[in-house]
Amino acid sequence: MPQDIYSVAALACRYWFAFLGVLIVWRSFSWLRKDRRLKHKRLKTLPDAGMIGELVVLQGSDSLPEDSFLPVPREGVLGYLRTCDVVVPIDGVARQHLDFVFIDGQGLVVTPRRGCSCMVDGELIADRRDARAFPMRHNSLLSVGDAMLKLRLFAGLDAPYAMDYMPDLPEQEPPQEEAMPGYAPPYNGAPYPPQETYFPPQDAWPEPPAYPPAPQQPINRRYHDEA
Amino acid sequence: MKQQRLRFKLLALFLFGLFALLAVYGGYAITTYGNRWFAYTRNPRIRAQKENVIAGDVLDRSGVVLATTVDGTRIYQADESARRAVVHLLGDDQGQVSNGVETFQSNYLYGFQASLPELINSLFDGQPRRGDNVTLTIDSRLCTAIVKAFGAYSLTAGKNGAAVVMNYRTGETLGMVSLPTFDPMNITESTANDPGQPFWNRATQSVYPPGSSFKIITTDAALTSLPGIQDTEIACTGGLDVAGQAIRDYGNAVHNSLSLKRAFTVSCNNVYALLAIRMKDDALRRAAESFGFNDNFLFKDIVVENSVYPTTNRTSFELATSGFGQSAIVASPMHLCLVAAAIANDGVIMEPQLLRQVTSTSGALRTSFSPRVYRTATTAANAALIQDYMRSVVTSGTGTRAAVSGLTVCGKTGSAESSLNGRAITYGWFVGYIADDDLPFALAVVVEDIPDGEGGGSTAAPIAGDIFQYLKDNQTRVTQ
Amino acid sequence: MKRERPVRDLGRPLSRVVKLFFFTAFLLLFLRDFAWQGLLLAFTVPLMISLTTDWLPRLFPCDKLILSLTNFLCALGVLVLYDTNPSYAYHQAMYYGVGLGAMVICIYLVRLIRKWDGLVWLMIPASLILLALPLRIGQETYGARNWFYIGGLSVQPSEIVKLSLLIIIAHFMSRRQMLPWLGFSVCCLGLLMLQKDLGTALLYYGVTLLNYFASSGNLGMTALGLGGGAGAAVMGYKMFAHVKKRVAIWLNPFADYDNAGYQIVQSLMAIASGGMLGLGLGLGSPRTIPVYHTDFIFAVICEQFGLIFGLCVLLMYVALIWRGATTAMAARSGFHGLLAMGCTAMLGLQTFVIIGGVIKLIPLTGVTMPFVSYGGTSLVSSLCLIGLLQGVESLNEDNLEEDTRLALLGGDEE
Repeated sequence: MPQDIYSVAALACRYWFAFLGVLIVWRSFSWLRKDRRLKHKRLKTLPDAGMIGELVVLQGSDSLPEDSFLPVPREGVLGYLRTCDVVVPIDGVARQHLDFVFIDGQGLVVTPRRGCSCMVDGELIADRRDARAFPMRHNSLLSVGDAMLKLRLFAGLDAPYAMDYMPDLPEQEPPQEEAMPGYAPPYNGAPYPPQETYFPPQDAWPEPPAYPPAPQQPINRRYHDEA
Repeated sequence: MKQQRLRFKLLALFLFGLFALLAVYGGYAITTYGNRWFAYTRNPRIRAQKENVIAGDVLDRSGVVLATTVDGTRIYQADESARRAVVHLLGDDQGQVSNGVETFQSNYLYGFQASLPELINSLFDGQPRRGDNVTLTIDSRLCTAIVKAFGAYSLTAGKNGAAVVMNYRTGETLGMVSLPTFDPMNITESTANDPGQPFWNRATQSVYPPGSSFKIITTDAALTSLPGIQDTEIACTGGLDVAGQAIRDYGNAVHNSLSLKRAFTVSCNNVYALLAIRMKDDALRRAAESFGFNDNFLFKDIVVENSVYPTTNRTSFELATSGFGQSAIVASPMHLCLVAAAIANDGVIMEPQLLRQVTSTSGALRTSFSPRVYRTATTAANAALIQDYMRSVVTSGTGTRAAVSGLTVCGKTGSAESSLNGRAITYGWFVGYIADDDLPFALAVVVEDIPDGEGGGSTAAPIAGDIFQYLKDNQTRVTQ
Repeated sequence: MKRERPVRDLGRPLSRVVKLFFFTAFLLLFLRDFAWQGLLLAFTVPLMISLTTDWLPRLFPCDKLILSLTNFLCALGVLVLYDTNPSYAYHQAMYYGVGLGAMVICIYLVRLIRKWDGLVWLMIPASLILLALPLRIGQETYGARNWFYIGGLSVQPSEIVKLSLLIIIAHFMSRRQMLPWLGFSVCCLGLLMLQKDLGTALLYYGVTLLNYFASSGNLGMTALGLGGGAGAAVMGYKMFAHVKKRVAIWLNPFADYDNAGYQIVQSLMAIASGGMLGLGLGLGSPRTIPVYHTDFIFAVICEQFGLIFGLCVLLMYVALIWRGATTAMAARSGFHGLLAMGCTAMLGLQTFVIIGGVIKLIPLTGVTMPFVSYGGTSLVSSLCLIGLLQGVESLNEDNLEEDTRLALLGGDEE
């Protein structure tokens, strides 16, 4: 094609390419927004997403009354600060007191930070070696500062006693909600959980210890020792 | 883990910030420097475009064709002296003069701004495309007159120098001349090897020490930081001792006791050295910077070398000599013209522009002139006082040779001492303006290497007078 | 129960626009000189995009948005290379295929390997050896000596070691074991300095520092690291002449146009000539920019497509970073989070460094633009980064699914 005709064509196409570029960016960002909304919605129905259990407060203080529950994620930090994963606002607890991580087959391994110590089931844990030797299991007792906490692991986790106490779950298909038109399910086809029943009231993602008074147990996970 | 999540969010924001920085900087750089990068002479895209597009014409404000393309070659004005007078602002088609209109406005001259319908039309026309026609604010006859004025006086004939004339109310540049000139239609080896460097545009690219013409700024600084100074008398001993060195006046004159106005009129160095020491470096530097010193000039149409007011190694002797424009202060003739324009325009400097309008070959208007303010240099009150002082320089001071009957001419002379290649050299300055509403023009003239014993008043001022005379005689031509 | 508004699938429209873009672009280039390759590419590139964006996620656990954007950038690279030098375009397309395979391998690496302990201790010496190889058998280009030949193919080990760096520092930082990753990083930096590959050294240093801050939150130590880096930069400036030269031409490239400043001046002229909308695809003089196929490919894009489009490309990288950060935040274990964040930070920093160099925001360094630049190792390693990111993301999805399943099971017992 002669150069001048081509240059006119190319110059005309500039607007087209710029428009398409902007369109692609626009669509990408609305996709990002949409995914964020979906994720928020999903997490709302799963308040215990990522949690492996809870710490029940046996001995606390005014700011942390007894029999309150602190959800425990798989990996995190326990301490006085509000940004910790497990917040224990009690004297004797450092701002970032200990790291904990759930190791499959062993349990919750608790590693105190420098200068801190704690007791697990009566054993003093002061460094990493101790931590590995004494992992926490279901109904283990953790003593940090002036607080005494008991660990309750959720069902279905690969931890000691899970084999023995795994409850007999009936073979039941979760109720099928018809897929939303146009929604492409994730690749393994698990259905979207139904919307009602078992998530706490909308505004009560529990800040410990604010569970609704009855029932006391969280209503969506089962414990190791409940048959 | 939660803490780690929070820190991830922080990191993500940090990365977003980096990208925002990229976008903002890119936008800023392209809008301010874009044309300068594009118009760099070696840009191969312009050279490629030259093969497809015939360059547009360049006209002066009265319609005189300064440059046009005939049969593939660039033709300038027929009269050689007229050609040579505008060669530095116009540039040549090989780009030997950096940032002349021929290269700097390549964007328009080679049709880069053509819109899509125009391109399609030209496709069907069958004729080769023509770039846009650029009309400048320049008056080419004025430029010719300036060159003639340089040659008319025995003291300045054959000397190098520069002159800039602009309209201080609008910012239009009327004339920009640099000597030595050359013939753009006749560039030879010897032109390139000429030791006087004829390709160099001294009006915008050369910086000289301003000498006594800097006293305008010192006066403004004194009025601001030493209140009441205009009503006091200052002593001049003829040999002020600063750090073991004596400040001398022109001809070793001793003025005894002077008012500020009188000191300005007779250009007394001692008084100004005293003022500089009294107000200290900070005040003087701030005044200079508000007039544009140490600023990065980013004018849309003209590339001007930055003027420097030194900020390091300021001994008290340097401070004293800065008061009358020596030490390491340098400025271009264009900038000093802006300084005069500031005083004339009640303290506001208009941005100097070259483009009057740009039209396509089919007559569509691409852009036209609109005045823009560059900065506010000083208050109207200070400007009014300095206007009075500058008037008395021309009526009864060092600049009487710039006077023109029938015009209210104001100005300041300057003789700046410097050294070049180990040899002492003096530059003669005259910066001034016409205070009449119907002829709002400011100018700056500099003559290089004036003989011993002479000053700006005897070398640059007569040239300025001739320029003012031309402006008076050609009033309609330069104002319509 | 309130009926939900149907959730729109945004994947299809996006990939349609991308395919349309490349179809029209290659068609235009075909019209320029009627070369049959142009027409072929006009059909095959959209087809490839369709295959990877629509079909690959069905076979492997991928993230569609990341794939879409990545495909766009890679195809943009192929487009620009075809415009300037078609043989490069074919090589790039070939490496893209290889890169896709590597990406899938990386996805499965992250998914399948539970215990990284043994592997990591093996990676450390292997990476160091790999990084040290160019010093022995390497060639020198553009003042840096950071690649070597393996049987006809040029390999840049610093790109490969990039991946192991991310894994190593994520692993040890998540366990709060400072010594291993610190020692490894310092050795890597030292080797890179010896090879005079300052750009990659800067990247390694930046990613390590950012990851350290993310994992430990120790502002004091981070500031110390930052100060140390700044100090090293100043020392490098004083010691190495070519660093001085780089900084000098960064400040004023026009002063030394013919020699050192030539690259950056050409790049600036190209970007300025492009203006807002560009000079047009296939027009302009992109080949006058030195290294137009690797470092300065962004200048070519700005010249041909304009600043608006350049800004869009920048925003696409921002979208990738956003996605990467979201993935890192949703990760269940510290290791995976740090790995994802490391990949994101590496991509982001690399893009910032090269585009900053091209528009003269920072001095020029020798890094390439991820996905777009020509270069086999660079393209494959960038795709591997994306693979690692998608691996972490698929793990997140899996965990979420698992939680959903358990929640459903538990709830029904009530």
